[in-house]
Amino acid sequence: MILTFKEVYLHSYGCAVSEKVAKQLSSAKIDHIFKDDLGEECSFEKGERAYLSKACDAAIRKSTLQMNELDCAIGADLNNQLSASHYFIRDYEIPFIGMYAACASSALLFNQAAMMIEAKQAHNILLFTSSNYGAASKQFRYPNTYGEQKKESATTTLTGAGAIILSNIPSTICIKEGFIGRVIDWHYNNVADMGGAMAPAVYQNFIEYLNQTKYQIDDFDCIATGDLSKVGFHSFAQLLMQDHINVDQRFMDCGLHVFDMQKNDVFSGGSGPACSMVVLICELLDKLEKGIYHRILLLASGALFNPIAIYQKESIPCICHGIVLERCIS
Amino acid sequence: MELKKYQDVIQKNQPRKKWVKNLVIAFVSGGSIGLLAQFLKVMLMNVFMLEASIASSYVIVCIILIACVTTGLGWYEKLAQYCGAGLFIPISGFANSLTSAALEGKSEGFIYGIGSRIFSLAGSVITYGIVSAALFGIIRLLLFGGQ
Repeated sequence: MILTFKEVYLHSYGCAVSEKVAKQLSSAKIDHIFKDDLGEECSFEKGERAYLSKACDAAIRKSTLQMNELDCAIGADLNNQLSASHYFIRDYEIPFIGMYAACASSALLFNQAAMMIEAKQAHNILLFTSSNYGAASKQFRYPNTYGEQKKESATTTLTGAGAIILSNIPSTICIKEGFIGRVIDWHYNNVADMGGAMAPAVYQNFIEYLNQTKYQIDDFDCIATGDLSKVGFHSFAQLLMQDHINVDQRFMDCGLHVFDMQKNDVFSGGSGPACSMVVLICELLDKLEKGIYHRILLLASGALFNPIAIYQKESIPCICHGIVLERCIS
Repeated sequence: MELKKYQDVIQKNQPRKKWVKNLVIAFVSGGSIGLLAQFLKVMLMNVFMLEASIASSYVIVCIILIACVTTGLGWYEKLAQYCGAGLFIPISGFANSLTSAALEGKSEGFIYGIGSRIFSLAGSVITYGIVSAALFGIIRLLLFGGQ
């Protein structure tokens, strides 16, 4: 489902990350760095809210808006019942929509917010995503100190949060287009290889988007996938090359940019709803603002599995949502 | 949907499994724990003058203690990533599973956190251990009259 927007602009942004992530990203754009996953709190879940608090606080402070000018907030995280988002936003007292698309949440939130602004139902919307390594391990995998021998194809959930305010107030960066992707389930059930599971979903949704819009890859200065990481990104590139699409320097993966890939402890790369959001804020928006990029496509990828479904021998359904950000003269 | 195409591509991009390296490391690390246990037993029998059966029990307790403390310090998981089965097969693996689950459950309190979660990973081992013991006990009774 392709969406086009004419009146949606990126107003401000903020992000908070852990020290491990901060070492790798451009620190000029990071608003707060926490020492560890706990975020100076007593549990990972509370820590995730602390990260969100810093990211959203920064985005609002950098904007020209008052709190009462925010019409709505839209948030996403990996926790059951979106607990990080709900327990965080309760202090803000603004209308809230919680959404879940796992690691594809960033692009989904952009599309949702842009639709509401384009339809003139809202003027200013705060959107945020977060993830926490400790909380995600507790919910999806094993306790953090458990002596599990992780596979090399496994990804490491990034601990961080990113917040963006979209508005109808003209600015340098506008949201031009987006697509809501289809769920693709190709009967893959290896939960130690999320990247490989998501690669076909990104490939299929991306090809369908190109076919419907008749765009070429040259129409974009950068095509960034969310968190396919090593295995997934190589698979995605191979699938594109089989379709005679030249995978050149404009293709990148956010999951390969958030950690130092030379160190063994991150395995295949980074993942999480905050992954694509944080790389967008720290690396890609900067290039758009400086005019290095004029038009970028973010293909946020998500693995929509449930641990109970996996134990019941189900496979991993995956999705990819997309958003096009453009530099526009304000 | 081109299932075969996806399967081929993703399969080709899987990291190569290092079977031999993992086997050798597991063998050496598991054997090292066995050596450590034997050393402790000999020390307990000769230095502390304990009987063999009591010394064996103390050795198991020592291994469990070392596993629990190293889990709490965050060292165990790093070692386990390297050693694999060499660490989770012996009693150290069982101790680590209980300790890590308890540490994780701390934030939810004693009843719903630690108490409920402590056996979340080891539960299967205990359940099927007890079921197997009962089953084989019954078989032994029926076949050999309990002898």
